[in-house]
Amino acid sequence: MLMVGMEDGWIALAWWLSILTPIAGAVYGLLNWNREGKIVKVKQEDEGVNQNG
Amino acid sequence: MGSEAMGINIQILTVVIILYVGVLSYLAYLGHKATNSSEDYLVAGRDINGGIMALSYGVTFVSTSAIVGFGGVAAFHGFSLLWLTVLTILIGIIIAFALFGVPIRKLAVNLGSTTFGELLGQRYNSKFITFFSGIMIFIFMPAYTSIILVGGARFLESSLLINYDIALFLLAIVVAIYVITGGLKTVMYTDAFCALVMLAGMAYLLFSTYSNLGGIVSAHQELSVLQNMVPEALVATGHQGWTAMPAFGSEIWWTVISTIVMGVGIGVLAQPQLVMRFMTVKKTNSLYRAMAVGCIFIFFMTGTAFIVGPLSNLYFVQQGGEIATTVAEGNVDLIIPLFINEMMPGWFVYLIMLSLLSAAISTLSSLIHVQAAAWGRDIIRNFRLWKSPASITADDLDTIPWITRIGVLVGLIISILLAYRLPESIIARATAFWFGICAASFLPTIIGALYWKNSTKAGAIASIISGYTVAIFGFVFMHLAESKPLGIARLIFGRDALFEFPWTHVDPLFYALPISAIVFVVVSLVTSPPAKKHLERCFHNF
Repeated sequence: MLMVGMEDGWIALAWWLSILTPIAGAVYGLLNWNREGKIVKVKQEDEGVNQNG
Repeated sequence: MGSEAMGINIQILTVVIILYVGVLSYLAYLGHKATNSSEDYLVAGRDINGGIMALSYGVTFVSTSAIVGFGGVAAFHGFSLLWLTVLTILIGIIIAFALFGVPIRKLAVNLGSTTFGELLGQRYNSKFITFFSGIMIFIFMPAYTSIILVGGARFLESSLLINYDIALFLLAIVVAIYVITGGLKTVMYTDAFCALVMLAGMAYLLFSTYSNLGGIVSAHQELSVLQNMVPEALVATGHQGWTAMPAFGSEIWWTVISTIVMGVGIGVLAQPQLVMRFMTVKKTNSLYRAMAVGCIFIFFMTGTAFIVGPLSNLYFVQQGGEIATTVAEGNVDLIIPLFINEMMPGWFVYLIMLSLLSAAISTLSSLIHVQAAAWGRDIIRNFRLWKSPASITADDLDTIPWITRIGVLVGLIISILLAYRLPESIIARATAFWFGICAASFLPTIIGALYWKNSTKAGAIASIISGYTVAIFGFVFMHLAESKPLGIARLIFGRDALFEFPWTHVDPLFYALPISAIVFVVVSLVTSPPAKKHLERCFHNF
């Protein structure tokens, strides 16, 4: 099953990674959707900026 | 791949292409309307949505020759090329967006940079770096652009049955009109549309190939059985079957690993036309959103080409008892078109035609835009700033300089001339050549610009010049794939390459990049770091 019909383990690994890497990248991108916004908010809170304007 | 051979209706195809050009024209008009300043023209007003940026980055990266040409190469070498898909996504998207894109966007906004050369030059306070990168882009990029132009024109010639010269000029004129009028906004809007067409075509191609060959595992197993059909000449150079890696250290192993996988996979990080995309997004957050879209898009482009390519051998053996290279009479560029023609339904041919046309137009327009920006900003404007700063007025920043628009025409004319003048064997090597010199010249300097505050102007200049010189030396005198068709090594030394195997097959990036990096670190350590005030300006919001 893990070999997905390939003769060589390195090729099977490349096949799996070519499927899993984009999925991992997409998930990472979505999880960090608002990363910079959060960093700015944390910095502002550290510096004592009133978030309610 | 003639229309008659493909069994398509030329009238229907003409209508489809007119509709397609209509949509492109409308998007070009929207881009034109939204372009009012130099910043709009050069970096799309730094106002682009993450999804559009990711699609534009993807289609700029993947051209017709990457799909058809590399797909054909995968049919020849086998599934080992899937490592390129893995590297392209891991390095070209995930690492590029998170570790390069985010700081590049911040730095470009802090310094007001609008081109690749300006970004490096302003970070290191060096007009020379901006000028050198502009010259390098303007001299060497046209060879790469000419491959895309030739690929697109050949495709139009065969699919619409029109004269090659007319096809070449038609393509050049269409691209020139919309790059001149709309700048990067038009380029990116049309890129996004092209990307959606390509995504539909390539996704269908992948699923239907596996489905027609009996499913994933079954198709791979049956292809493994064909190992004994690999021609003896290839077995002798290290080919061990389409579902196995080439023999370690063999000629084919060095070609696949050093040139195709490492050269293109790592080379992507220092591509000016891709780095510029990071400067266009509205917010840094957009780059993480873009990463999700970019990963999926690149998988369906390179993954499909590198899976369908090897599997075409199984299909051709089942149909006529011959492997793909034999069916294509040794021309690997014909394998993917022949496979699509024989296996796919009639309607799909229209979709794949539009996909391949989209790939050509989008990459071409992006390259031409970068060449024009290098001409207008990095060479002409930067030279005036350098030698005669009083000649630059505020208008230069607010209006779209006509000189940049002239750069579009100059860049296109050079590319057209190269398409006619250079032998095809040289043009075909231009991708690896361009990616190699870019990475060797600029990669250490870019990494230092973003992550090493004490890296110096002298270190950057020394690194760029040493990386560039060693890479050029390698391509001209050591790496057989380029040194043989160039012929300079034979002219001077009476042999095609100066050293014996494996140097004849090791991509120059392999030694030029480490040398460039070492020079960068050593020179930066022994020279004075930049002024604190300048660093504060560069990195205050990092």
